[in-house]
Amino acid sequence: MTENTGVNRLSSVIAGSTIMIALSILPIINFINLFFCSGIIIGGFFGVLSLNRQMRRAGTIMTYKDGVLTGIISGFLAAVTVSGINIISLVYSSVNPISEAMQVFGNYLKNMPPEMLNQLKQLENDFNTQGYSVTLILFTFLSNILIFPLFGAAGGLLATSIILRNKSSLPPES
Amino acid sequence: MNKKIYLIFLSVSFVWTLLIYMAPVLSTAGSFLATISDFIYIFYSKTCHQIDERSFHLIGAKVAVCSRCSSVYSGFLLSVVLYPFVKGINSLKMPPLWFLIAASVFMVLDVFLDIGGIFSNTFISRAITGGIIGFILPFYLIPGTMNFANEIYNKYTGNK
Repeated sequence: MTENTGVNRLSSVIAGSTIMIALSILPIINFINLFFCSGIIIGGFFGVLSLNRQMRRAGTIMTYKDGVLTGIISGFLAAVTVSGINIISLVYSSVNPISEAMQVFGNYLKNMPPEMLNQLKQLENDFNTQGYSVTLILFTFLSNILIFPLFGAAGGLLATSIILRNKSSLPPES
Repeated sequence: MNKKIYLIFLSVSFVWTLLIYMAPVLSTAGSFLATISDFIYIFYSKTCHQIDERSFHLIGAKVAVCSRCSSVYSGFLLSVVLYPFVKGINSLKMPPLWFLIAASVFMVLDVFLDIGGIFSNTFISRAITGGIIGFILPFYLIPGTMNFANEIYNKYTGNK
């Protein structure tokens, strides 16, 4: 991924995904993702800033495609890594996350419809019998694969839009 | 081309926001729909703390994200709907950067002044600061998405 121009896109993708992963798994600072995935947006944003710095040094001009792809690929890489870390910690942890969640949201559960409660109890039983829930692991993975590239692309697009805001390279089409 | 991109952008924003408000409605509908609602809550838990006391409620159940996030996404959708009337669908010009910075500063202040115990934020302050940034973002993201799509389109059709 290193071009003749000296631009290493992979390093920008890794920089972006490292920020996303750090802001998603490190305790306390991972709260940032609870504000509409700000951690993922910031990762995509800084991945593109890193790419832009390299491209400026190499004398090439960044395009929207570069920015969006950096955000998407950073998000995809981070999603796979974060899902892997989550799955490993779920399998090796003795804590049942569903039981924990049910304790935290105790009052709310009283108002929950019985069908939803049954669904949660099913997931809780999966953890008690197998130590993990295939449904939850699959759903977590699929959610991450959708959310990380989506918000990563938003961060990348935002950074590119700011970098190129005074350069309207393409005329609007009718 | 720009119209198609805008419609895709609008559809994604609409579905994303609709699911937030459908979660409590589906949860009361029972059986299979309640299971879907359950998965909607789990899906959005990746993006929001979903604390009950900090969330808007619909027919007795909380919506899928907190009041700040639901304001961000609702403001975002409103802005996407209004975009063609405010800027015109073919406009690729972005507003000055300080609009985005000011909106971000308002929201960050609302969060950190509360954490620091200097000012207790409320449903109204969270909804307003979230709504403002949600409303501002499409004015940067829609032109960016259109530029991106135009670049891809021009590359594959050979237009310069």
